[in-house]
Amino acid sequence: MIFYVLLHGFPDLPTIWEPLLKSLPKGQKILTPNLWQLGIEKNKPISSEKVAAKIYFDLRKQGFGENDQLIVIGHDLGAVYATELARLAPRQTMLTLLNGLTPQMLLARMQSGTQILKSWYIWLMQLPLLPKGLLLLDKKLPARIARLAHRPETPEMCSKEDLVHGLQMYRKLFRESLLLRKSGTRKIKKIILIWGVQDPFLNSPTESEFSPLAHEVEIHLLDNHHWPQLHSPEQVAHIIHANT
Amino acid sequence: MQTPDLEKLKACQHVARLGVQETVRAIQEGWSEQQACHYLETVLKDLGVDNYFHRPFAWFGERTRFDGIRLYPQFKPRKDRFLKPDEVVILDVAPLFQGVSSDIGYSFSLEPREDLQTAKNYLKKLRETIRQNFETKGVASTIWKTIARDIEANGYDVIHRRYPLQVLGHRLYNHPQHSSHFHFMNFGLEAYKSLLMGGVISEVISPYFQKSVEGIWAIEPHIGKSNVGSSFGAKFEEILVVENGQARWLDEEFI
Repeated sequence: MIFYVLLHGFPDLPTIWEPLLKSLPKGQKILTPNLWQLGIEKNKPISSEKVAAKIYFDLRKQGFGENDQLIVIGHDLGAVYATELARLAPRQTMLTLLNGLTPQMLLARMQSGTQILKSWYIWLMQLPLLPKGLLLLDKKLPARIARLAHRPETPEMCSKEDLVHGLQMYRKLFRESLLLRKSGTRKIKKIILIWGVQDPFLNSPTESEFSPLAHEVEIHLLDNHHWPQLHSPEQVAHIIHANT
Repeated sequence: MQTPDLEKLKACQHVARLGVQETVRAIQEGWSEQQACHYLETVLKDLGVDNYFHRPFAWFGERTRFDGIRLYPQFKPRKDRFLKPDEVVILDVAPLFQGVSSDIGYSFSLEPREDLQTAKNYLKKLRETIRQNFETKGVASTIWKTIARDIEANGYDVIHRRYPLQVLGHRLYNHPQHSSHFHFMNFGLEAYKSLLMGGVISEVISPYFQKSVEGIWAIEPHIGKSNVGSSFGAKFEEILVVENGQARWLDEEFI
Protein backbone atom coordinates (compact mmCIF):
# COMPACT_ATOMS: atom_id res chain seq x y z
CA MET A 1 0.00 0.00 0.00
CA ILE A 2 1.10 3.60 -0.56
CA PHE A 3 0.90 6.04 2.35
CA TYR A 4 1.08 9.81 1.77
CA VAL A 5 2.10 12.36 4.40
CA LEU A 6 1.79 16.02 3.45
CA LEU A 7 3.43 18.62 5.70
CA HIS A 8 2.53 22.28 5.31
CA GLY A 9 4.75 25.32 5.81
CA PHE A 10 4.58 28.63 7.67
CA PRO A 11 2.12 30.35 7.98
CA ASP A 12 -0.12 27.77 6.29
CA LEU A 13 -2.48 25.06 7.55
CA PRO A 14 -3.17 21.53 6.28
CA THR A 15 -5.89 23.08 4.10
CA ILE A 16 -3.06 24.24 1.82
CA TRP A 17 -3.09 20.68 0.38
CA GLU A 18 -6.74 20.66 -0.70
CA PRO A 19 -6.09 21.51 -4.38
CA LEU A 20 -3.32 18.89 -4.60
CA LEU A 21 -5.36 16.21 -2.80
CA LYS A 22 -8.01 16.48 -5.52
CA SER A 23 -5.37 15.43 -8.05
CA LEU A 24 -3.74 12.59 -6.10
CA PRO A 25 -4.87 9.01 -6.77
CA LYS A 26 -7.91 7.95 -4.74
CA GLY A 27 -8.00 5.11 -2.22
CA GLN A 28 -4.62 5.78 -0.60
CA LYS A 29 -3.92 6.44 3.08
CA ILE A 30 -3.26 10.17 3.36
CA LEU A 31 -2.15 12.06 6.48
CA THR A 32 -2.12 15.87 6.57
CA PRO A 33 -1.15 16.69 10.17
CA ASN A 34 -1.28 20.19 11.62
CA LEU A 35 2.33 20.97 12.52
CA TRP A 36 1.37 23.82 14.85
CA GLN A 37 -0.45 21.31 17.06
CA LEU A 38 2.14 18.52 16.77
CA GLY A 39 5.19 20.67 17.32
CA ILE A 40 4.30 22.29 20.65
CA GLU A 41 4.18 20.49 24.00
CA LYS A 42 3.52 22.28 27.30
CA ASN A 43 3.82 25.58 25.41
CA LYS A 44 7.32 24.78 24.18
CA PRO A 45 8.46 23.77 20.70
CA ILE A 46 9.79 20.22 20.43
CA SER A 47 12.61 19.05 18.19
CA SER A 48 12.01 18.17 14.54
CA GLU A 49 13.03 14.57 15.39
CA LYS A 50 10.27 14.36 18.00
CA VAL A 51 7.70 15.74 15.57
CA ALA A 52 8.80 13.14 13.01
CA ALA A 53 8.53 10.37 15.63
CA LYS A 54 4.93 11.41 16.35
CA ILE A 55 3.98 11.33 12.67
CA TYR A 56 5.75 8.00 12.18
CA PHE A 57 3.85 6.50 15.08
CA ASP A 58 0.58 7.79 13.58
CA LEU A 59 1.53 6.07 10.34
CA ARG A 60 2.21 2.80 12.17
CA LYS A 61 -1.16 3.06 13.89
CA GLN A 62 -2.73 3.42 10.44
CA GLY A 63 -1.09 0.14 9.44
CA PHE A 64 2.15 1.30 7.82
CA GLY A 65 4.52 -1.67 7.73
CA GLU A 66 7.78 -2.77 6.19
CA ASN A 67 6.23 -3.72 2.85
CA ASP A 68 4.48 -0.38 2.31
CA GLN A 69 5.68 2.63 0.37
CA LEU A 70 5.76 6.09 1.92
CA ILE A 71 5.50 9.32 -0.02
CA VAL A 72 6.35 12.29 2.14
CA ILE A 73 5.63 15.73 0.73
CA GLY A 74 6.90 18.82 2.53
CA HIS A 75 6.48 22.46 1.64
CA ASP A 76 8.47 25.39 3.06
CA LEU A 77 9.08 24.73 6.80
CA GLY A 78 7.31 21.38 6.39
CA ALA A 79 10.34 20.25 4.35
CA VAL A 80 12.37 20.06 7.57
CA TYR A 81 9.91 17.70 9.26
CA ALA A 82 9.38 15.78 6.01
CA THR A 83 13.13 15.10 5.79
CA GLU A 84 13.25 13.91 9.41
CA LEU A 85 10.26 11.64 8.78
CA ALA A 86 11.86 10.20 5.65
CA ARG A 87 14.96 9.33 7.71
CA LEU A 88 12.84 7.02 9.89
CA ALA A 89 11.92 4.80 6.93
CA PRO A 90 14.65 5.62 4.38
CA ARG A 91 14.34 2.39 2.37
CA GLN A 92 10.59 2.85 1.82
CA THR A 93 10.34 6.60 1.36
CA MET A 94 10.18 8.86 -1.62
CA LEU A 95 10.61 12.41 -0.35
CA THR A 96 9.11 15.27 -2.31
CA LEU A 97 10.03 18.80 -1.34
CA LEU A 98 8.18 21.83 -2.67
CA ASN A 99 10.18 25.04 -2.21
CA GLY A 100 11.62 23.94 1.09
CA LEU A 101 15.03 23.12 2.54
CA THR A 102 16.52 21.68 5.69
CA PRO A 103 17.91 24.36 8.04
CA GLN A 104 21.45 23.07 7.46
CA MET A 105 21.03 23.62 3.72
CA LEU A 106 19.68 27.09 4.30
CA LEU A 107 22.67 27.94 6.48
CA ALA A 108 25.01 26.58 3.81
CA ARG A 109 23.27 28.81 1.26
CA MET A 110 23.99 31.88 3.33
CA GLN A 111 27.24 32.30 1.40
CA SER A 112 25.08 33.61 -1.42
CA GLY A 113 24.22 37.31 -1.25
CA THR A 114 20.86 36.85 -2.99
CA GLN A 115 19.82 34.13 -0.55
CA ILE A 116 20.85 36.27 2.44
CA LEU A 117 18.61 39.06 1.11
CA LYS A 118 15.73 36.67 0.43
CA SER A 119 15.99 35.23 3.96
CA TRP A 120 15.63 38.55 5.78
CA TYR A 121 12.55 37.30 7.66
CA ILE A 122 14.45 34.34 9.13
CA TRP A 123 16.93 36.69 10.78
CA LEU A 124 14.07 38.88 11.99
CA MET A 125 12.45 35.85 13.62
CA GLN A 126 15.54 35.16 15.72
CA LEU A 127 15.33 38.52 17.50
CA PRO A 128 13.93 38.45 21.04
CA LEU A 129 10.35 39.77 21.57
CA LEU A 130 10.14 41.85 18.37
CA PRO A 131 8.74 39.20 15.96
CA LYS A 132 6.15 37.98 18.47
CA GLY A 133 5.22 41.58 19.22
CA LEU A 134 4.77 42.30 15.51
CA LEU A 135 2.56 39.21 15.06
CA LEU A 136 0.43 40.07 18.08
CA LEU A 137 0.08 43.68 17.00
CA ASP A 138 -0.77 42.89 13.43
CA LYS A 139 -1.94 39.34 12.83
CA LYS A 140 -2.51 40.15 9.15
CA LEU A 141 1.19 40.83 8.65
CA PRO A 142 2.06 37.29 7.44
CA ALA A 143 -0.96 37.38 5.11
CA ARG A 144 0.24 40.66 3.59
CA ILE A 145 3.75 39.28 3.11
CA ALA A 146 2.30 36.10 1.58
CA ARG A 147 0.16 38.19 -0.80
CA LEU A 148 3.26 40.09 -1.90
CA ALA A 149 4.79 36.67 -2.59
CA HIS A 150 1.77 35.85 -4.83
CA ARG A 151 0.03 33.45 -2.46
CA PRO A 152 -3.69 33.29 -3.31
CA GLU A 153 -6.14 34.45 -0.60
CA THR A 154 -7.43 30.91 -0.10
CA PRO A 155 -6.98 28.53 1.57
CA GLU A 156 -6.88 30.41 4.83
CA MET A 157 -3.70 30.88 6.81
CA CYS A 158 -3.10 29.98 10.44
CA SER A 159 -4.66 31.66 13.48
CA LYS A 160 -2.90 34.09 15.82
CA GLU A 161 -2.12 31.26 18.26
CA ASP A 162 -0.75 29.08 15.48
CA LEU A 163 1.36 32.00 14.25
CA VAL A 164 3.04 32.18 17.66
CA HIS A 165 3.56 28.40 17.66
CA GLY A 166 5.02 28.59 14.16
CA LEU A 167 7.35 31.34 15.26
CA GLN A 168 8.51 29.26 18.25
CA MET A 169 9.13 26.27 15.99
CA TYR A 170 11.03 28.38 13.45
CA ARG A 171 13.33 29.61 16.21
CA LYS A 172 13.82 26.10 17.58
CA LEU A 173 14.78 24.82 14.12
CA PHE A 174 17.26 27.63 13.67
CA ARG A 175 18.94 26.67 16.96
CA GLU A 176 18.91 22.99 15.93
CA SER A 177 20.56 23.83 12.63
CA LEU A 178 23.53 25.30 14.45
CA LEU A 179 24.23 21.84 15.91
CA LEU A 180 25.69 20.15 12.89
CA ARG A 181 24.36 16.69 12.06
CA LYS A 182 27.18 14.20 11.76
CA SER A 183 27.19 11.87 8.78
CA GLY A 184 26.31 8.19 8.99
CA THR A 185 22.53 8.18 8.74
CA ARG A 186 21.13 6.12 5.87
CA LYS A 187 20.32 7.85 2.62
CA ILE A 188 16.70 8.16 1.56
CA LYS A 189 15.74 6.23 -1.57
CA LYS A 190 14.80 9.23 -3.70
CA ILE A 191 14.16 12.97 -3.42
CA ILE A 192 12.02 14.83 -5.89
CA LEU A 193 12.26 18.61 -5.82
CA ILE A 194 9.37 20.52 -7.32
CA TRP A 195 10.30 24.15 -7.27
CA GLY A 196 8.60 27.38 -8.22
CA VAL A 197 11.46 29.41 -9.65
CA GLN A 198 9.76 32.77 -9.01
CA ASP A 199 10.07 32.14 -5.26
CA PRO A 200 10.89 35.41 -3.48
CA PHE A 201 12.26 33.52 -0.44
CA LEU A 202 14.42 30.72 -1.79
CA ASN A 203 16.87 30.37 -4.67
CA SER A 204 16.43 27.35 -6.94
CA PRO A 205 17.97 24.07 -5.75
CA THR A 206 20.96 22.20 -7.11
CA GLU A 207 21.45 18.44 -7.24
CA SER A 208 24.68 18.66 -5.22
CA GLU A 209 22.80 20.23 -2.29
CA PHE A 210 20.50 17.25 -1.96
CA SER A 211 22.70 14.34 -3.07
CA PRO A 212 24.09 13.76 0.47
CA LEU A 213 20.49 13.06 1.56
CA ALA A 214 19.34 10.63 -1.13
CA HIS A 215 20.55 8.04 -3.61
CA GLU A 216 18.60 9.73 -6.38
CA VAL A 217 17.70 13.41 -6.80
CA GLU A 218 15.23 14.62 -9.41
CA ILE A 219 14.58 18.33 -9.90
CA HIS A 220 11.52 19.86 -11.57
CA LEU A 221 11.59 23.62 -11.97
CA LEU A 222 8.16 25.18 -12.53
CA ASP A 223 7.32 28.71 -13.57
CA ASN A 224 5.60 29.29 -10.21
CA HIS A 225 6.06 31.28 -7.04
CA HIS A 226 6.56 29.82 -3.52
CA TRP A 227 3.42 27.64 -3.57
CA PRO A 228 3.54 25.26 -6.57
CA GLN A 229 0.87 23.05 -4.93
CA LEU A 230 -1.56 26.00 -5.20
CA HIS A 231 -0.48 27.35 -8.55
CA SER A 232 -0.05 24.05 -10.42
CA PRO A 233 -1.59 21.24 -8.34
CA GLU A 234 -2.22 18.98 -11.33
CA GLN A 235 1.34 19.32 -12.56
CA VAL A 236 2.71 18.61 -9.07
CA ALA A 237 0.43 15.57 -8.69
CA HIS A 238 1.48 14.32 -12.11
CA ILE A 239 5.20 14.46 -11.19
CA ILE A 240 4.54 12.63 -7.89
CA HIS A 241 2.30 10.05 -9.54
CA ALA A 242 4.86 9.37 -12.28
CA ASN A 243 7.34 8.39 -9.57
CA THR A 244 5.16 5.98 -7.58
CA MET B 1 8.19 5.57 50.87
CA GLN B 2 5.27 3.22 50.07
CA THR B 3 5.64 -0.13 48.35
CA PRO B 4 3.64 -0.09 45.11
CA ASP B 5 0.34 -1.85 44.61
CA LEU B 6 1.13 -4.98 42.59
CA GLU B 7 -1.81 -4.60 40.20
CA LYS B 8 -0.77 -1.04 39.37
CA LEU B 9 2.80 -2.17 39.00
CA LYS B 10 1.72 -4.91 36.59
CA ALA B 11 -0.23 -2.36 34.55
CA CYS B 12 2.78 -0.03 34.49
CA GLN B 13 5.16 -2.79 33.41
CA HIS B 14 2.65 -3.90 30.78
CA VAL B 15 2.59 -0.39 29.31
CA ALA B 16 6.41 -0.26 29.36
CA ARG B 17 6.55 -3.63 27.61
CA LEU B 18 4.06 -2.50 24.91
CA GLY B 19 6.17 0.61 24.28
CA VAL B 20 9.36 -1.38 23.92
CA GLN B 21 7.73 -4.01 21.71
CA GLU B 22 6.35 -1.37 19.34
CA THR B 23 9.76 0.33 19.15
CA VAL B 24 11.42 -3.02 18.36
CA ARG B 25 8.96 -3.50 15.49
CA ALA B 26 9.38 0.05 14.17
CA ILE B 27 13.12 0.63 14.42
CA GLN B 28 15.09 0.52 11.18
CA GLU B 29 18.67 0.51 10.05
CA GLY B 30 19.99 4.07 10.14
CA TRP B 31 18.03 5.27 13.18
CA SER B 32 20.06 7.09 15.80
CA GLU B 33 19.94 6.14 19.49
CA GLN B 34 18.13 9.41 20.08
CA GLN B 35 15.52 8.69 17.39
CA ALA B 36 14.82 5.32 19.03
CA CYS B 37 14.30 7.06 22.38
CA HIS B 38 12.06 9.75 20.86
CA TYR B 39 9.96 7.03 19.27
CA LEU B 40 9.70 5.01 22.50
CA GLU B 41 8.61 8.16 24.38
CA THR B 42 6.02 8.91 21.68
CA VAL B 43 4.53 5.43 21.99
CA LEU B 44 4.50 5.56 25.80
CA LYS B 45 2.86 8.98 25.74
CA ASP B 46 0.12 7.56 23.56
CA LEU B 47 -0.34 4.79 26.14
CA GLY B 48 -0.81 7.38 28.92
CA VAL B 49 2.72 7.88 30.26
CA ASP B 50 3.75 11.48 30.78
CA ASN B 51 6.60 11.18 33.28
CA TYR B 52 9.53 8.93 34.05
CA PHE B 53 11.60 7.46 36.85
CA HIS B 54 14.16 7.51 34.10
CA ARG B 55 13.61 8.44 30.47
CA PRO B 56 14.50 5.97 27.71
CA PHE B 57 18.03 4.85 27.06
CA ALA B 58 19.03 3.20 23.78
CA TRP B 59 22.47 1.78 23.15
CA PHE B 60 23.68 0.34 19.84
CA GLY B 61 26.58 -1.97 18.97
CA GLU B 62 29.70 -1.63 21.13
CA ARG B 63 27.86 0.85 23.35
CA THR B 64 25.62 -2.02 24.59
CA ARG B 65 28.79 -3.22 26.34
CA PHE B 66 29.51 0.38 27.46
CA ASP B 67 32.72 0.42 25.41
CA GLY B 68 33.86 4.02 25.09
CA ILE B 69 31.60 5.14 27.93
CA ARG B 70 33.61 6.64 30.75
CA LEU B 71 31.66 9.62 32.01
CA TYR B 72 28.03 9.60 33.04
CA PRO B 73 26.77 11.92 30.23
CA GLN B 74 28.09 9.37 27.72
CA PHE B 75 25.34 6.93 28.80
CA LYS B 76 22.76 9.26 27.27
CA PRO B 77 21.36 8.40 23.82
CA ARG B 78 23.48 9.80 21.01
CA LYS B 79 22.12 11.55 17.95
CA ASP B 80 25.17 10.58 15.89
CA ARG B 81 25.24 6.84 16.61
CA PHE B 82 23.31 5.13 13.81
CA LEU B 83 22.08 1.54 13.84
CA LYS B 84 23.60 -1.09 11.56
CA PRO B 85 21.52 -4.20 10.82
CA ASP B 86 23.86 -6.68 12.52
CA GLU B 87 24.26 -4.69 15.74
CA VAL B 88 22.79 -5.43 19.14
CA VAL B 89 20.36 -2.89 20.58
CA ILE B 90 19.40 -2.39 24.22
CA LEU B 91 16.32 -0.35 25.17
CA ASP B 92 15.79 0.58 28.82
CA VAL B 93 13.00 2.77 30.18
CA ALA B 94 11.26 3.36 33.52
CA PRO B 95 7.87 5.05 33.08
CA LEU B 96 5.64 6.44 35.83
CA PHE B 97 2.07 5.32 35.29
CA GLN B 98 -0.93 5.48 37.64
CA GLY B 99 1.31 6.53 40.53
CA VAL B 100 3.91 3.78 40.31
CA SER B 101 7.13 3.32 38.40
CA SER B 102 8.26 0.19 36.61
CA ASP B 103 11.45 -0.50 34.70
CA ILE B 104 12.14 -2.59 31.63
CA GLY B 105 15.26 -3.54 29.68
CA TYR B 106 15.33 -5.50 26.44
CA SER B 107 18.09 -6.64 24.06
CA PHE B 108 17.66 -7.51 20.38
CA SER B 109 19.14 -7.10 16.90
CA LEU B 110 17.57 -6.44 13.48
CA GLU B 111 19.31 -9.44 11.94
CA PRO B 112 19.54 -12.72 13.84
CA ARG B 113 22.79 -13.15 15.83
CA GLU B 114 23.79 -16.47 17.25
CA ASP B 115 25.98 -14.93 19.96
CA LEU B 116 23.14 -12.69 21.13
CA GLN B 117 20.76 -15.63 21.23
CA THR B 118 23.30 -17.59 23.30
CA ALA B 119 23.62 -14.62 25.69
CA LYS B 120 19.84 -14.34 26.00
CA ASN B 121 19.56 -18.06 26.71
CA TYR B 122 22.11 -17.59 29.48
CA LEU B 123 20.20 -14.55 30.84
CA LYS B 124 17.05 -16.67 30.96
CA LYS B 125 18.92 -19.25 33.04
CA LEU B 126 20.40 -16.49 35.20
CA ARG B 127 16.91 -15.15 35.84
CA GLU B 128 16.04 -18.31 37.75
CA THR B 129 19.41 -18.26 39.55
CA ILE B 130 18.71 -14.69 40.70
CA ARG B 131 15.25 -15.61 41.99
CA GLN B 132 16.65 -18.55 43.94
CA ASN B 133 19.43 -16.39 45.38
CA PHE B 134 16.92 -13.87 46.70
CA GLU B 135 15.30 -16.72 48.61
CA THR B 136 18.44 -18.41 49.88
CA LYS B 137 21.05 -15.68 50.34
CA GLY B 138 18.81 -12.92 51.70
CA VAL B 139 21.55 -10.26 51.79
CA ALA B 140 22.07 -7.94 48.82
CA SER B 141 25.88 -7.89 48.75
CA THR B 142 26.04 -11.70 48.82
CA ILE B 143 23.52 -11.95 45.98
CA TRP B 144 25.46 -9.38 43.94
CA LYS B 145 28.74 -11.25 44.36
CA THR B 146 27.21 -14.68 43.63
CA ILE B 147 25.60 -13.41 40.42
CA ALA B 148 28.81 -11.67 39.31
CA ARG B 149 30.74 -14.91 39.83
CA ASP B 150 28.14 -16.86 37.84
CA ILE B 151 28.31 -14.38 34.93
CA GLU B 152 32.11 -14.55 34.81
CA ALA B 153 32.14 -18.34 35.12
CA ASN B 154 29.97 -18.45 31.99
CA GLY B 155 32.46 -16.37 30.01
CA TYR B 156 30.77 -12.96 30.16
CA ASP B 157 31.79 -9.61 31.61
CA VAL B 158 29.74 -8.05 34.41
CA ILE B 159 28.64 -4.84 32.72
CA HIS B 160 26.33 -3.66 35.53
CA ARG B 161 29.58 -3.23 37.49
CA ARG B 162 29.86 -0.02 35.44
CA TYR B 163 26.45 1.32 36.46
CA PRO B 164 26.33 4.03 39.11
CA LEU B 165 26.91 2.16 42.45
CA GLN B 166 27.37 -1.05 40.36
CA VAL B 167 23.69 -1.81 40.83
CA LEU B 168 22.21 -5.15 39.87
CA GLY B 169 18.80 -3.83 40.89
CA HIS B 170 16.91 -1.08 42.67
CA ARG B 171 13.73 -0.82 44.73
CA LEU B 172 10.44 0.37 43.21
CA TYR B 173 7.96 2.62 45.01
CA ASN B 174 4.73 4.53 44.70
CA HIS B 175 5.08 8.06 43.36
CA PRO B 176 2.76 11.07 43.36
CA GLN B 177 0.36 11.02 40.37
CA HIS B 178 1.45 14.51 39.35
CA SER B 179 5.14 14.60 40.17
CA SER B 180 7.59 17.11 38.76
CA HIS B 181 8.81 16.72 35.19
CA PHE B 182 12.31 17.75 36.22
CA HIS B 183 14.95 15.40 34.73
CA PHE B 184 18.69 15.45 35.14
CA MET B 185 20.90 13.09 33.14
CA ASN B 186 17.77 11.22 32.00
CA PHE B 187 16.64 10.49 35.58
CA GLY B 188 13.50 12.10 36.95
CA LEU B 189 13.04 13.86 40.27
CA GLU B 190 11.32 10.74 41.67
CA ALA B 191 14.51 8.70 41.13
CA TYR B 192 16.58 11.19 43.12
CA LYS B 193 13.86 11.49 45.79
CA SER B 194 13.69 7.74 46.36
CA LEU B 195 17.46 7.52 46.71
CA LEU B 196 17.57 10.42 49.15
CA MET B 197 14.56 9.38 51.22
CA GLY B 198 15.24 5.63 51.32
CA GLY B 199 18.98 5.95 51.72
CA VAL B 200 21.23 5.04 48.79
CA ILE B 201 22.57 1.81 50.28
CA SER B 202 19.19 0.29 51.17
CA GLU B 203 17.72 1.14 47.75
CA VAL B 204 20.01 -0.90 45.54
CA ILE B 205 21.44 -4.39 45.08
CA SER B 206 25.13 -3.62 45.07
CA PRO B 207 28.32 -5.12 46.49
CA TYR B 208 27.94 -2.82 49.53
CA PHE B 209 24.39 -3.38 50.78
CA GLN B 210 24.11 -5.71 53.79
CA LYS B 211 20.41 -5.40 54.66
CA SER B 212 17.41 -7.63 53.99
CA VAL B 213 16.04 -7.80 50.43
CA GLU B 214 12.33 -7.97 51.27
CA GLY B 215 10.36 -5.71 48.92
CA ILE B 216 9.86 -5.04 45.24
CA TRP B 217 12.88 -4.75 42.98
CA ALA B 218 13.73 -3.92 39.39
CA ILE B 219 16.50 -6.39 38.60
CA GLU B 220 18.82 -5.65 35.67
CA PRO B 221 21.72 -8.03 35.09
CA HIS B 222 23.85 -6.70 32.24
CA ILE B 223 26.43 -8.96 30.64
CA GLY B 224 28.97 -8.37 27.88
CA LYS B 225 31.15 -10.20 25.42
CA SER B 226 34.22 -8.71 23.79
CA ASN B 227 34.32 -10.37 20.38
CA VAL B 228 36.90 -8.99 17.96
CA GLY B 229 35.14 -6.34 15.89
CA SER B 230 31.75 -7.10 17.37
CA SER B 231 31.65 -6.46 21.12
CA PHE B 232 28.18 -6.42 22.54
CA GLY B 233 26.21 -6.39 25.76
CA ALA B 234 22.83 -7.82 26.66
CA LYS B 235 20.52 -7.35 29.58
CA PHE B 236 17.02 -7.81 30.81
CA GLU B 237 15.21 -5.78 33.41
CA GLU B 238 12.22 -7.21 35.21
CA ILE B 239 10.41 -6.88 38.50
CA LEU B 240 11.06 -9.29 41.35
CA VAL B 241 8.69 -9.46 44.31
CA VAL B 242 10.22 -10.68 47.59
CA GLU B 243 7.71 -11.39 50.37
CA ASN B 244 8.31 -13.43 53.53
CA GLY B 245 11.48 -14.91 52.12
CA GLN B 246 9.77 -16.03 48.89
CA ALA B 247 10.78 -14.46 45.57
CA ARG B 248 8.79 -14.44 42.33
CA TRP B 249 8.97 -12.56 39.04
CA LEU B 250 6.01 -10.24 38.47
CA ASP B 251 5.78 -11.50 34.88
CA GLU B 252 6.30 -15.22 34.61
CA GLU B 253 7.23 -14.94 30.94
CA PHE B 254 10.80 -13.92 30.01
CA ILE B 255 10.90 -11.58 27.00
